[in-house]
Amino acid sequence: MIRHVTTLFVAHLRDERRAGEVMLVIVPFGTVALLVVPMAVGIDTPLLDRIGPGMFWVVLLLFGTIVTQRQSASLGESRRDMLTLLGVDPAVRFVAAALAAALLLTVFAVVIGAVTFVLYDPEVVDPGWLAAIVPLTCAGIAMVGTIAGNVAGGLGTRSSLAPLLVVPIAVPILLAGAQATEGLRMGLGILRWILLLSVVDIVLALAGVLTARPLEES
Amino acid sequence: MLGLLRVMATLLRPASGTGTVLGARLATPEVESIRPRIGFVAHDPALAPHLTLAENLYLVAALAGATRVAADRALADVGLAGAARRRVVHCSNGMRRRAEFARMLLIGPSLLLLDEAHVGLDPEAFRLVAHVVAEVTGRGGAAVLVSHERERAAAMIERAVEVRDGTLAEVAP
Amino acid sequence: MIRPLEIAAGLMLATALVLGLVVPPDAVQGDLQRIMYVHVPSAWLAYLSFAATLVAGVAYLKTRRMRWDHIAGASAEVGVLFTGLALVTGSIWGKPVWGVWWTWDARLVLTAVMFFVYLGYLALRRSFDDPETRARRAAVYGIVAVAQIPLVHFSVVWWRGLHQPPTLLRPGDPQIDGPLLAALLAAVFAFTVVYAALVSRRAEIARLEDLLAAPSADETVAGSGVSAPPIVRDTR
Repeated sequence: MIRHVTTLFVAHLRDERRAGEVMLVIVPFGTVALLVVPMAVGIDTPLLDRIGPGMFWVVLLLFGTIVTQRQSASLGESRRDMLTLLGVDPAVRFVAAALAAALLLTVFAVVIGAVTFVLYDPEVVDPGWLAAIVPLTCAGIAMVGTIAGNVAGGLGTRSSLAPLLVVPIAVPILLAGAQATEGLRMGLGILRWILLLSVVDIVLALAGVLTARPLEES
Repeated sequence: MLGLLRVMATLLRPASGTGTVLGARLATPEVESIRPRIGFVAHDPALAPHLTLAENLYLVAALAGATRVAADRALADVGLAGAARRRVVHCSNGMRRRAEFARMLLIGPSLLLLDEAHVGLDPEAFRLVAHVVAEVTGRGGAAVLVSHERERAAAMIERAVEVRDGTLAEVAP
Repeated sequence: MIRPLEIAAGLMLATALVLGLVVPPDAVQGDLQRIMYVHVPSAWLAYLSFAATLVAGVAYLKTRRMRWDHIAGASAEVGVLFTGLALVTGSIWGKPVWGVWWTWDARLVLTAVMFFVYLGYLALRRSFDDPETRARRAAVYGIVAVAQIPLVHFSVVWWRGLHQPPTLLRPGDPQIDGPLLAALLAAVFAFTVVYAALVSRRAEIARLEDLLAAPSADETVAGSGVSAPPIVRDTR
């Protein structure tokens, strides 16, 4: 099973490297969004410093959802059938897709984070904690996105439907990430948010794995 | 007919009725043990568009427990040795279909299901279909071919059924 | 054909609304408070519908009987209606009290999130032609979404807890006197019966819609409506 996960995981990443959609399309899209916000709210430096981290999380959630759709987008019905016949467990498929999405999202987050830092000049306190918070949020978004992609799979409207499916239930992830960074800045304890993120991730992982098979069976 | 073929491939549950495929009853957990013995070539090739033909076959090999050498050999058998490093998006429909047959040769199924697999193939490639079918039946397996081109398919088959008014009727091949 | 349940629901609803209008007004908020008799039951139904959608979805996955899917979809539709009603009445109630149409009160935010989860669920359902695919996918999404709701609740409550809100009159739980409490309970009960009537009727309509959409006998043998027909020998 682990072997199957790694094989599929590598295949997803290779596919993305060749297609280049995350790095060449979604990252620029996210960057443009960050660029456009000050145009709308004003370039008052203290204001941008205040909202910078929040904008990072919003862009990560909204555009990150598109990143997570890549994995299910590339898997047509024929390929899914082939994997089923090869005996690949649907749960394995979920794990591989979610892992690949999480990795891509983390890369996305790092780039977007750098852009936010440059454009908004936010005060960054205890960046070490970010190394824990960002991957946890990316894992959560990746899992919700993968589940949403599988649930909406095979639809032409997937591109507009997936964000609607993802964003409301990803609220805890967004809040945890944003409140944790805010908490760091204000010197408050952020352990509860890390805890919440961990619980969310565990719940989503269980949900993804347990619903993978019922979802597949026709 | 795709629906019926997918039911035979154990990919779709019949809404009613029962059946057995390779000794496993449909719509029961028994199908999981026989699935690796089924080879299914759908209308759309099951290929990752941005990977090369070889990478696609290697992926199948890795999941099916076969070797890369066997994958290379399968590609050579269908005449794609030269194009193995080409990405699927840069391959013609004919090449993609051949790659599907390479996949069938690689996994060596006991039950081969072909959905209009020879559509759009030149006579040379069509012989490939016959070759793959013969491979399977020669090993004691069975092949089910869905086709609108009765004459073309006639040479390969032993029995033929037609769908008429929602029921199957056996006809002379 | 009007069913007994629907007649009962109509009568109870009328009674509850009349009660809501005749009981004494609240000592502090006056007649404005009467909107509570619509707001609170609506909020209750928002949660009830959610739970019912989850349960029906699980029941579908276990039994694969379409009836559960019809109930799940009907419950979600009714749920989104009452969630919207809860939000709107909450807003109308809040404006004179708080001075704004919206405040970031934890419960309001949670209700708003639920509203969008419903919308997503219904949008998902609308996207499928095949009833069984729809049922399966919607059931899974329903389970995942509802599993997240407690976590959404915690995150929102913790969030709002960090920023001390101004002391507001919380419309949700004033101290309630006997007659007002009775009227409120009557309203909750009546709305629940209305919910049952609406879901029942809507599920029936859904069943008929699926029947209409089912492939007919002479369509090509494709999709999931396949059974193994007899093989008839035919020499030609």
